[in-house]
Amino acid sequence: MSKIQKALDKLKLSERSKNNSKQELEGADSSLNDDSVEFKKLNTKISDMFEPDMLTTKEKSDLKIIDAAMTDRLIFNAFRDLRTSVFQKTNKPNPIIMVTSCNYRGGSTFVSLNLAAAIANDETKTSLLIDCNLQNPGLSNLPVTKEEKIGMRDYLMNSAHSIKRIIYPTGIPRLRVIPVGIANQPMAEYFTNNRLKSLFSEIKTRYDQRFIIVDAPPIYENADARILADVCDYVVLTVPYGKVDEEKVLNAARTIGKEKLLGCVFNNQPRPPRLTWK
Amino acid sequence: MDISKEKKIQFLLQEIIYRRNFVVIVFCLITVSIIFVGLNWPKKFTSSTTIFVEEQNILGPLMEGAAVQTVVVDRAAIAREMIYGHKIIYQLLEKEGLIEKNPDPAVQERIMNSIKGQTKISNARRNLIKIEFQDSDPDKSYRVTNTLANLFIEESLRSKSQESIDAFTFIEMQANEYKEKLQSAEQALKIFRTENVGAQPNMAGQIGTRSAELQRAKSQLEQDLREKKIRKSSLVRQLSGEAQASSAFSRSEQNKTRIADLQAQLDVLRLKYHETYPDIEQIKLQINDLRTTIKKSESQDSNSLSGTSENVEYFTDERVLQNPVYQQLQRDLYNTNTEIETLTARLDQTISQISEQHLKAIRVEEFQTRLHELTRDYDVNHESYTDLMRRREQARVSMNLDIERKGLTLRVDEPAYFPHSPNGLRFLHFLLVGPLVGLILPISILFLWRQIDPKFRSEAQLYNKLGIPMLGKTPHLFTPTETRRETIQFIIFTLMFIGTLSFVIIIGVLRMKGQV
Repeated sequence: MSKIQKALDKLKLSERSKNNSKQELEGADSSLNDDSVEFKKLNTKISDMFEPDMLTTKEKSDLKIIDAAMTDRLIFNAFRDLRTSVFQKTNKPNPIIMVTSCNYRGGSTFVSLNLAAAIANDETKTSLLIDCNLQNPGLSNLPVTKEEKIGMRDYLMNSAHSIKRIIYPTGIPRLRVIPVGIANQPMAEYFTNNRLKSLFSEIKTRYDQRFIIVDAPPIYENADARILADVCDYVVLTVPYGKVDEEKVLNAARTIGKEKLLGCVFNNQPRPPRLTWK
Repeated sequence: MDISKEKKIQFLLQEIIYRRNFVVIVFCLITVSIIFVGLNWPKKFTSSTTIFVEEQNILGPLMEGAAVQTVVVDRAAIAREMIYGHKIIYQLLEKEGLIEKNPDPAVQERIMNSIKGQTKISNARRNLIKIEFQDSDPDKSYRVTNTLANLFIEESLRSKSQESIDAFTFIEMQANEYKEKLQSAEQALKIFRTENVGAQPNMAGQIGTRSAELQRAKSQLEQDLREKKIRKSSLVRQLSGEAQASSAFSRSEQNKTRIADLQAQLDVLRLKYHETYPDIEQIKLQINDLRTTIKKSESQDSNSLSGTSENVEYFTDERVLQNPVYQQLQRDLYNTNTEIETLTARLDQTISQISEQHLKAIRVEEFQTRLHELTRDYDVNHESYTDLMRRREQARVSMNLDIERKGLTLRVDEPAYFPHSPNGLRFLHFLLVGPLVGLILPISILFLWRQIDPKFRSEAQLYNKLGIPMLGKTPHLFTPTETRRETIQFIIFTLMFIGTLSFVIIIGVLRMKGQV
């Protein structure tokens, strides 16, 4: 049994490496056109998006990512509802939505990842997930981010990097990710750089019907989050169950500001454990 | 912020689900602990007895006024004082063999205190004292209750009769003291009376009367004396006048008469005796003397007729003497003189009598005062003694009542019974309470925690309180690994829960069978 499993894993790995080389090729192609800065040209049809090998439902489950085929409909529907709310409340095209939390381990990564997944689940929309939690990157578990790849930090610190280089497919259709990157300069002020704004304005126009989800650090303890909030169109605040009090939530809400605060997501609501043995 | 009851329950359920492991662990621990406590909980057997205290019985009204009845109030307090007293407890310990001989005082004190702690005394009703004793040993509980009740009754009756005896003894002592006093008073009175035999209490009156009589007699005598003296002076005056005027019998005449008398006597004697009889000779001598005298007087008379005035006076006197009036006056004067002397003598006597009576009166006064004092002493002592005697008799009756145990009736109304089943908390209670508390306690803690903890536990709360728009709520997503872990945990905790319940049931069954 284990041998068969190993063989299958090997097969998968070889397929992935092939796809990666494909993506790199595509990236090389696009970089040719990159200099012309005609992003609209790149607004190719969503259906034409290159998708590497897809993650299976189980893989997604392990990564705490929702999937249309998952048996746990409660959580799936919860994120669908959340997505609907977000759609209803955002009136800007290709909005940049920052997801932050009131406290450390407040579930912003989980919400941002699944919100992006839920948006991407809609075939007419795509989503781009940016890991802006530079100190404690949350999206490092994805297969694509496991290997150290250039990302936000690299882009912000080095103008030689093009946007295309840092956007990776995730194995989830229509969902792209910008990992935190490999550059590591201590005490660096990444977000004060103008490149952040240019990055955001660029990715906004890169695809039509694209929702950019930014996974930000907790708002109260990090100046990064506040800078990001200024740059982003909307902010979603996650409130974990039984972890924060009124003061924290109010402080967070005040920091964000009424006009930008899209709303709260009450996260990690307790529920009876799912009992399956698979 | 009003949250409906259903919501509250829902939130509580949510919290229980969230902290399910805590709930199950606390449930198991609490249940098992309570069951263990129950297994080791000492059984308590209580035996009780009630003592009826009758203060009014048939003798009460009968003996009213004659005997004083002890009034008992707040019986439980008195009984408590009595039973908790060193005496009864020590007797109990000795009687029940709860203490060794010559015990260590500290140990003894501890045992006594524990006995006191196990004993409860209350007023079941107004006249009922309830004594309860609780112990792990039913037999001991029964015995101690019985003994306590008996000791209490004994002691109350004994102390009551002791009280009566003390009262009686005291009164008797007092009575005896007064008796002695009375006796000495009597003796003093007797001696005084013996010393003053003639003295009578009403003598003062007699003396007064007598004094008055004597005074009257004295006045009378003085009056009479004055009269007699006047009479005497009058007679003397009369006599001096008469002497000159009247002639009186002559002395010779008298002598002649005398001779004649003597001659007559001589004649009589001559009839019987010879001439030589001394009497006849004597009389003859007398007659001769008298004749000589007459002759002398006759010669004197003749001389006087031719003689001096003195001779005349003599003659006159002689004549006066022969005067019957003069003689009469002379007799009267003699009589008066005699009477004066008599009266004077009587007056002197009366005066001495009066002074005597006066002295007597003073003596009687002293006697009266002394007698009065002695009588008063006697009366006071007598009165006190009589009163004490009466009281002593009352006390004697009271004492006898108490000795006969008729005064205060103390009897066991409901005798102590042998406790067959323990009271207080029983194992069944622990068996039922254990799981219940095991469930309620953690849930209550969670509920209270929820109330105190200001952290948000529902989106509604968040929205209602802060007015921040809600986008949605996302439940926890279980990864397959988590699901497996949760499943294992669930099985473990379910087993723990079921195991605890089974433990409760098994222990219960075993207990019922008496094997635990």
